[in-house]
Amino acid sequence: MRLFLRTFAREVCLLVGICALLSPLFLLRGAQTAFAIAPKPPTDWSFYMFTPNSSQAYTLGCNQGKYDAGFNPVVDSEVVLDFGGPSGSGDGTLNYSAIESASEQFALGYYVCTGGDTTSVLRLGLGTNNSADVTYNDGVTWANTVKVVANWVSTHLTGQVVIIGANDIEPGWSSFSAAKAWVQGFIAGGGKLYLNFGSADGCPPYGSCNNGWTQDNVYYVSWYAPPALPAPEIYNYQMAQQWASISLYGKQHYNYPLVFQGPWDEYDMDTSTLTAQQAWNDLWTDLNNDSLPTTMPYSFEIHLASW
Amino acid sequence: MKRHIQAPGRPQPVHRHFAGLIILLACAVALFFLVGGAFALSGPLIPSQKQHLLQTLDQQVARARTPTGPKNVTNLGVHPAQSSAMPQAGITQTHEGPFPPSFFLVQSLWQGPLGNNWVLAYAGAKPASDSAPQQGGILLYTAPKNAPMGSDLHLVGMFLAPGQITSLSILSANGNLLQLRSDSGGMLTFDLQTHQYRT
Repeated sequence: MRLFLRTFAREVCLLVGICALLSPLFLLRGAQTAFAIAPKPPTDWSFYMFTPNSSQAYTLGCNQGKYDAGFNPVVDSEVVLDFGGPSGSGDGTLNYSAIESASEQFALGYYVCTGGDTTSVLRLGLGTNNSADVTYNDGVTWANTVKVVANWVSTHLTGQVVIIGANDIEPGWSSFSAAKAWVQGFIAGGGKLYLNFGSADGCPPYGSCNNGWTQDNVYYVSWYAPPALPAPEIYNYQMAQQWASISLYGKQHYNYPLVFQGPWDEYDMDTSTLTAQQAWNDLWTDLNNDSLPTTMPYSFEIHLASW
Repeated sequence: MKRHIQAPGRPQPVHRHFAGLIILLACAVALFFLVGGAFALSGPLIPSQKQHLLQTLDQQVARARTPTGPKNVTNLGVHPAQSSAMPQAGITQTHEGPFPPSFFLVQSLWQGPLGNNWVLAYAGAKPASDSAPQQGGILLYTAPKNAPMGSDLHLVGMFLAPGQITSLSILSANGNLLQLRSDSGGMLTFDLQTHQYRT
């Protein structure tokens, strides 16, 4: 019996020793500060398209299709067409039929120009923003617009394009209550998902968020709201720190940090801002320094298609 | 040696307690590390509702990757759009331009031909750090005339109005001159060629 106990105790000690040796590997998993920055995926071009032009949209979609199909193996992409906001107290200045037509043509261009490739997938975001007095009804209308285009795609194409919503939500553009109303309208209208490709203007560590917003408000429209996925504007190193700070806020207050789709840069519009690689590096590094999730599947860059 | 010999079925109480203590301690330590490891392995925590959303999106992408039929691009029943829209000259009441609001807050836009260029003049204000309008001005861009919309846009500059003018909007355009109104109701003009204000 004594021999049994001694053997048993030795095995237990061995087990404990192995656990003790392996546990640092698990516990250090989140602390990757010393590790190299993850490689940036190909940067996809998104577009300001304030005057929707179907012919131009087809060409742009075709370009993206050729680009994705040119990789071996082929790659996926995520693109936003930014049609601007429904500025003007909810009466709307957006031409929704033109938006739908341009979006459909972009999808068609992608589908046609991927040619023999049938497996690359474009996630196409129909983008608006929260400028002026954005409303609940604007959110409902946007969700319906997304659904119209998604139905067109499923009717006419055999695959390769997934339609989602998108919103450039910026504190400086509206009150939080207005932006929240849009989100609630989007949900009520059946919207399943939108990318928030906005900013965290003025937010910590650079003071208080602009226009009376809080970090909690930015967190809500970027992650807490069920359809929200963040693709943050990273035009300078401060914006990377602001978004990392929002993610840290979420981790500390809700136990859920942000999981980003990827950084959004505007180098093509303004060469004094960060390049796609710099935006990637800055955001990745700031997230990593705070042991926040760094896995990002995409990299976005805004270009101008029409004003 | 003799004192270590035990009768069968009667383990010495002290040894039994000692072994039990070791096992208990070992189990506690192992449990601590296993639970800790499990937490560490769980990685980024995602709310279940969000997890469901991401799974749904993954399923959509997977379906899109699996064609529902042969890819016959010549018989889709839809065709690429052929028209090529050109920009229209005039004034637009808008609140946005191809730049963030932290750079310039737009009240209105005039665009039209001027010399060999297509000109875009955004009227509004340079914002303060809290996003409120700080100083009225014109943000000027040019593009090649007759070029497709959006191509080759160049920033000429931001021209701030003189005096205490918080924001500007465009009332009309006449040749090189934009007729402007300040937020306080004052009138002034901006010369698109000389970039000068006149009150």
